[in-house]
Amino acid sequence: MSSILELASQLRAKNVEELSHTLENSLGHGHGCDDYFDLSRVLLSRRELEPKIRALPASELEALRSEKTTAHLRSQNLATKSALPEAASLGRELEIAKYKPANRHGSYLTAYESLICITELLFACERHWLDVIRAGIRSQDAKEIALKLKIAPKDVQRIFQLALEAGLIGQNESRWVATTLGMEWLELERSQAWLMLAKSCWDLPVLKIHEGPITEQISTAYPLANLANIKLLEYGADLGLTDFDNALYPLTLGSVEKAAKDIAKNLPEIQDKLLVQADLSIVSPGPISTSLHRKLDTFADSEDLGLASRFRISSLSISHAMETGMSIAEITEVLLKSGSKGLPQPVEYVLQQTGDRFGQLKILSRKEGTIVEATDTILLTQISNEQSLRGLMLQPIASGQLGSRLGADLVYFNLRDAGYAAVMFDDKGNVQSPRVPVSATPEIPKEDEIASRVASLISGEKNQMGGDDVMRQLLFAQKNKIMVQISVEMQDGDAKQFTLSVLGVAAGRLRGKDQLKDAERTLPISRIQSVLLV
Amino acid sequence: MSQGPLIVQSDRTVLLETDHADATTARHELAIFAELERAPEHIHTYRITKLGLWNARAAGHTAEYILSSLKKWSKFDIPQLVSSEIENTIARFGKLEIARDDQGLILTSDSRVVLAEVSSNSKVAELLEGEIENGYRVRDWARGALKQQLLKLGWPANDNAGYTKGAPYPIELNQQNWSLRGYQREAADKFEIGGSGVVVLPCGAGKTMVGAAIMADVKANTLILVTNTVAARQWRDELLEKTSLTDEDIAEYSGSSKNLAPVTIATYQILTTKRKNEFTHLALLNARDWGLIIYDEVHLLPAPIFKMTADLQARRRLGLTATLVREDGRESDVFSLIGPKRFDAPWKDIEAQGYIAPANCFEVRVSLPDEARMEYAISDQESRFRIASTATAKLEIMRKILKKHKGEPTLIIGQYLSQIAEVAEGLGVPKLTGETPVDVREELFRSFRNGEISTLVVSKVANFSVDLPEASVAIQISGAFGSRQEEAQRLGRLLRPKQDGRSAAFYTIVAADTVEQDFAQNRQRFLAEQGYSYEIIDAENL
Repeated sequence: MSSILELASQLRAKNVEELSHTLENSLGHGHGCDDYFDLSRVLLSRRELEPKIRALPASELEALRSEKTTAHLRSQNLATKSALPEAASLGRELEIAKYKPANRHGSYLTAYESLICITELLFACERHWLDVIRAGIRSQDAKEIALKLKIAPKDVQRIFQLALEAGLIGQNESRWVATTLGMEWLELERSQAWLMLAKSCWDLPVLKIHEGPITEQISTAYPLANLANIKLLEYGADLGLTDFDNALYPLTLGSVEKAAKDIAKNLPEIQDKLLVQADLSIVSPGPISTSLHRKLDTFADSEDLGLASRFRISSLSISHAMETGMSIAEITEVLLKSGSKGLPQPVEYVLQQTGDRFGQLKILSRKEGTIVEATDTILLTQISNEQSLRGLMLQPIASGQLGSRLGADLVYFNLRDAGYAAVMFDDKGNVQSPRVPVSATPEIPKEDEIASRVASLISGEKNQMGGDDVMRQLLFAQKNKIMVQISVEMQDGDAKQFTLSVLGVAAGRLRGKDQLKDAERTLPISRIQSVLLV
Repeated sequence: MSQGPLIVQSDRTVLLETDHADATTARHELAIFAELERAPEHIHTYRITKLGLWNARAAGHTAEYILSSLKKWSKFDIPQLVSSEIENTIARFGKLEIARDDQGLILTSDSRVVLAEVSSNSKVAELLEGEIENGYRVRDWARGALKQQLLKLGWPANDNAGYTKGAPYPIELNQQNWSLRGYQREAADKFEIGGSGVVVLPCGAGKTMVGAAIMADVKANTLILVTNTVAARQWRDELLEKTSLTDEDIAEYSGSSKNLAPVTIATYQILTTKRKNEFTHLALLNARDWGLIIYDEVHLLPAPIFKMTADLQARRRLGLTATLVREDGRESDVFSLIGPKRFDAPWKDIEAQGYIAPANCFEVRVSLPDEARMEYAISDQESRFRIASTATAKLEIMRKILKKHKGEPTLIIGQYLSQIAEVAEGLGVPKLTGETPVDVREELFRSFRNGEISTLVVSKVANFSVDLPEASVAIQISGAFGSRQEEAQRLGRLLRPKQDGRSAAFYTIVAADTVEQDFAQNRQRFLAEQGYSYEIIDAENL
């Protein structure tokens, strides 16, 4: 019996839940399959078989290669009551996927550094226009963040991808933004924050890990595993789970929750102490909590982040905080509450001056573009002559107003980058916060799509129930241009084999092209004893 | 892990919490192998650099000592990358040794791999001649150049080839009315142990006296290289007053006179003078059997002098400076050709000992009138800085400050000659620029010191090596773009202990809401990083 027929028969015996599971684990999720024959054909393709075979543990792989059948192989549709030659053959053919272990140091400290890197990335999304590019963020942006964190720009790019995996960052048109989930993540305790990241990439195959070379452990248990596809190996060092190619203690604990507890216990102890200095810097001589980091990032620019951190306030950073709703009094309270005994005079000066001047340079969005408005006309003249702002093409449109055809966001960010503390206002005169939360949209099909495909398969199958297997296979072969090997009872009673491509099935007769003889044949369907799809 | 005062970060910076009980002890150990980068009130930042580590190794400290010191004082685990880098960097020092046998200089190593690596480099190869056991012979003239190249390859050599003593000459300190300060003696002693190297001390801390003390230790013919003629004369005056040297013992070799003596003071400029593409006065370096060569303000050493210094490796070399940071990044050349850092101390420590005057720094922001604002607004970026810097609105502020500090010796320092002329005329005070003849300059300085004039408007010449012990107020009206060195020098003009113990006042007048204000912030940040607090004042509140 052909594999398609056998597998179709196995699928037919599955219940709705099992069928749903089969479709979920299929790359195309059953898209375009009208019946079980279609689905079987898809499932027997190399594209479908290969990832499942590579995910087999050693004992199951051995069974597959030996053309034995096991419950696991059947559940994966890699075998039926008997072996599926396509699967077995591919199992023998596949080679160990090449993989170069990550050459990166990992520890509790790197886990801590990843947390602050992602915090910083979330804030970068808010404060700057981060262009969407395939690699992640622009190299210049990665470099700026890397400098603060004292890591390499490529490490920032990788941790950015981790944040994407976890749904903390998403796309809004051509710009990266912090998602609602990302903003919630900033509020979490460190152990919870780490757990969310780890869960997004906790995809190791089932295996008891012990400390030591991890790729060796996985390869021994899963000989054909494609290690390059295992996200945990990619991000393990960043999460403090691997150190070069070695599994660290938290990874040996057996679950992501247990790992989270251990990591949290060993992260550098939070101190939440701040020292405000006369050079406008705010130094924390120890790790700070994510919530304090968030507050600081709202009203200060981070310069140096690590076990100790340094932030610096400026009129622009304070203006940013006020746009998000913070008052000067609240900023002062944060600074004083965290240990500083009084503020140095230059800090008080900058706070007061910024507070007094807030909102004097307005950005208003209109259908035709953007208006920059101020009562200080000399300031507007200066802005319109600013070389770095030439691209905005700002032109005087009325007394106290410059106009640009470009969007308000772009004008806003460019003005700030040029050192002008512009503030966006809406039509009602309310300050518009630069935060743009976006919901992350996962790519997996929704549950009801799977359910409707399952229903469609079942009904499609019912429509075929009138025909017998021989007819079904011939029609299937014709539709999919598949060759068939048929055994026909001849008039002398002997059985003869033909390999044909099916040209037509009608009036009880099969018309096909004999590939061997290069001749057309017409055979009575009633005399066909067996059909094998090849 | 201890709850010590240090935090070691993965970029090799080390933060020191100054309020911690163990801060002083930790700092003494840290300063052996790390460079102080900034020192504001509460948190000092050090950086562990290759040069710093090699300096420490040259002074006899091992990687184990350095790491145990960090572990002892650190609040958290030391990043593994930092530990590895310290070990690897230290391990590279001394793998190669420069020594002398009866035939001349040799380069040796017990590692054939390292020898093969360095000898295969073409620039090193041309400095070597002939293989010997475990090494190579070094060309006689190539000692300095070889050290320079080896450092660039990351294999700093241990120079044990010794020094020529030079022609002896009796020099004693004459301490009848004064005595060497503790840190000056310490600096001289550390130099003596090392043989050659650099002493880093803040402006006003008495680097000249450190030079004199070392001259008294070495007791040999000495060549002193300085930045300009005025500095040369200050050295001369200081040596005549504080040592046993007489007029006949000291000569000035400059544009105006080409004399030689057991102690000869020459300018960098004269050494780098070229005629027909040749350095005309290069022979000065071999004119006498110098036992000691002193490079004053070594951070300003012109690049050609490095090449000349490469040829002077047999002589003991002392570099004096307030900062090892060079704008051209040639600190490693200073290390390989002059020598490693032998001594430094943070400004505030020396101030705390009472040897330099405390200073209060102020930034006075003056709003430009509308006409000036409009001129600024329609100008290009380059012109904007000048317009802001030379704003006439600053003159009234200067008057207010002078009135506030009436009678106190005050320097007004600017960058633009036209502005200096206008201010001098507007205030009715003398000015001093590069165009002022040397004798007039000296007369003005003398009058200023004597109190005959209390205010002087000066240009860049006053930045360097001008000794005005009684200046207590400086008003900076314009300056170069964000130069930290310049800021250090200007503050240095004030930092002499005042006889009546008063603090110095350092004002910077900036045009508000202009690019000058942005640059002033960077420069003022430097002051705060050195531990000087400052205030921002609006001009109307002065």
